[in-house]
Amino acid sequence: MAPAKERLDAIASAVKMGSEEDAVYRCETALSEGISAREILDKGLSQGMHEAGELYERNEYFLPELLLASEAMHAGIQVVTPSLRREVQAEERETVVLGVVEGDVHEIGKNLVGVMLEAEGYRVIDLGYDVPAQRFLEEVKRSGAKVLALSTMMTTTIPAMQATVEMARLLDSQTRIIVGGAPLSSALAGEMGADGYEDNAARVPGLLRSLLG
Amino acid sequence: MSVYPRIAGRLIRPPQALTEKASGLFALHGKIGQLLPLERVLCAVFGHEPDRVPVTHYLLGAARRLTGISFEDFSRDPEMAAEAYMAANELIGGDVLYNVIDLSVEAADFGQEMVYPPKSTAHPDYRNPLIATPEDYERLEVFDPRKTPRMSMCIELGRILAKKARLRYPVLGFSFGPLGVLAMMRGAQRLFVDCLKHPEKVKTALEVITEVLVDYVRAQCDTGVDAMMLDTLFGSQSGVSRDLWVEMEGVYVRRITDEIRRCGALVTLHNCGTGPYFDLSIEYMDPVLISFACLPDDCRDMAELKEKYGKKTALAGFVPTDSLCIDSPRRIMDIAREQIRALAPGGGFVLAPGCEYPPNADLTNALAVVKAAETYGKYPIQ
Repeated sequence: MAPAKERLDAIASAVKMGSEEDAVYRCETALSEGISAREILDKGLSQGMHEAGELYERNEYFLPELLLASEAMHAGIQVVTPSLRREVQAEERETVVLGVVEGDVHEIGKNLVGVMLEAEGYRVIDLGYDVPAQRFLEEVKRSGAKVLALSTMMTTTIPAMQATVEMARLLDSQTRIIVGGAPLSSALAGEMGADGYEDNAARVPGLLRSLLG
Repeated sequence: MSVYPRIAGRLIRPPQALTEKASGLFALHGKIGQLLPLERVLCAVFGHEPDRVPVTHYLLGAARRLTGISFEDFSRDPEMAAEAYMAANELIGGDVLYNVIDLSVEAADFGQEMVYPPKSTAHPDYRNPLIATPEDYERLEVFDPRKTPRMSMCIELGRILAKKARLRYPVLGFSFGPLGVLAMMRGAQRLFVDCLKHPEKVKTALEVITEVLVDYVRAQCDTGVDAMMLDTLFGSQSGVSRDLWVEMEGVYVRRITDEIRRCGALVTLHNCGTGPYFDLSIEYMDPVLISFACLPDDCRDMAELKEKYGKKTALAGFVPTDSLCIDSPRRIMDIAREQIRALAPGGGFVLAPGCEYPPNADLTNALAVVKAAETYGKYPIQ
């Protein structure tokens, strides 16, 4: 039997290389050898996604490679989830409500942010795309989320994002709001009243760490 | 009827070398008098200094507000769209006309279901993609773009604009690149993954799309448009890697640009991605002009951009669209002045937003872009 570290490194490598089948096989093997689901998630799957994110930041990976890595990570998560439920209480992690604002259907950036946050251990509630402001607010209230993350790729839906930020502020001043998307800038995000802005999905976990302390 | 004569039904254009020579004469004229927009743009495109920096505002969906038509009318009626575009140049200013409607025109005619929102640009119904599984890539079929609703509308729009523009404005036809068209039918996220997982299936679709687009640019060139603009968004760091772009778009788009040149029109390019691959774009498409929103992946600043690419292609850009949404006209003019100072000396520069003018933004900043070219863009640049 290989040492646990070797198994976990192999899982990380499978994720980084975007090999779904390999990730699944190696997660199953690791579980069968008694490695905990939590370790597989943190030191294998999340580590692999983290490494893929670093390559993306350095422009050595691009969207296709990053998306493939996220598919491999999700396939691995499917394998470990039943064991993980027994090991970990979901309440241990901060919750992020995530979605693309009403009127916009572009969700690649939002999906990558979700994957990066999951890899860092956040509980992500992904509401999808074309999400009305009220739906965001209901979910933040229901879940007690610490962070509301909004995305848009179109200039025409910036007003919908602004309205969502303003309504969220009126209803709850504690929730941190972050925004992202091609037509935005830190200046525009600040003008909207958002707490944070990031133009690179791989850096969003760092942004949340700084916002949540 | 465009300005170019026809012999036996075939449009006759001057060879590019002759146009290039004429642009030198325009430049001489520009030193003593005011040029027409067409002359001004040709001067800049061929690396001469015109009377002032040419400018375009990229008012597309925003132009419809000047004539009070709906987004849907703008998206479907070539006469109404042409009126809006002419109004944009007459009221706001600007040196170029184009027949761009939205990025879904080509996909819609392949059969992609569309959504026409009342307050936003038309787009595919992403809940119902035409290519739902990798197997569907093989189901695309070649068709005649002159006979399908949206592409024929754009062909007609080009024809109307070429007729209205006469010798005053240059008219640009437009087509999304093959990979972009495919993204509109599959969704960009699934397409990106398929490029790595099922490359041969993706290429099957790209072959069909390219064949249609070659015919589409041929049909547009035949209306008398002066140039074609291709949008190769994914040839940038916000799209796919350099190698993957060459494999999945470069080799296909080359056939399209070859056809544009064969038709006698000029090739121009738009890429509003982050870190566009200028060197590959020039290698595979050899455009006379690249319109961009961000610095190329191999340039650190505007000085390096001008130094590295200023002699290889004309540059058009790159007032940020988020600034157009929130900044004051004064700030817009300051941004434009900085870009003019860095990129306009020696010619080869057209001032423009980095991408489409935000359709619902205040139009005052479009006026500021034009005003900046008129105020700070007079040659010699101060």
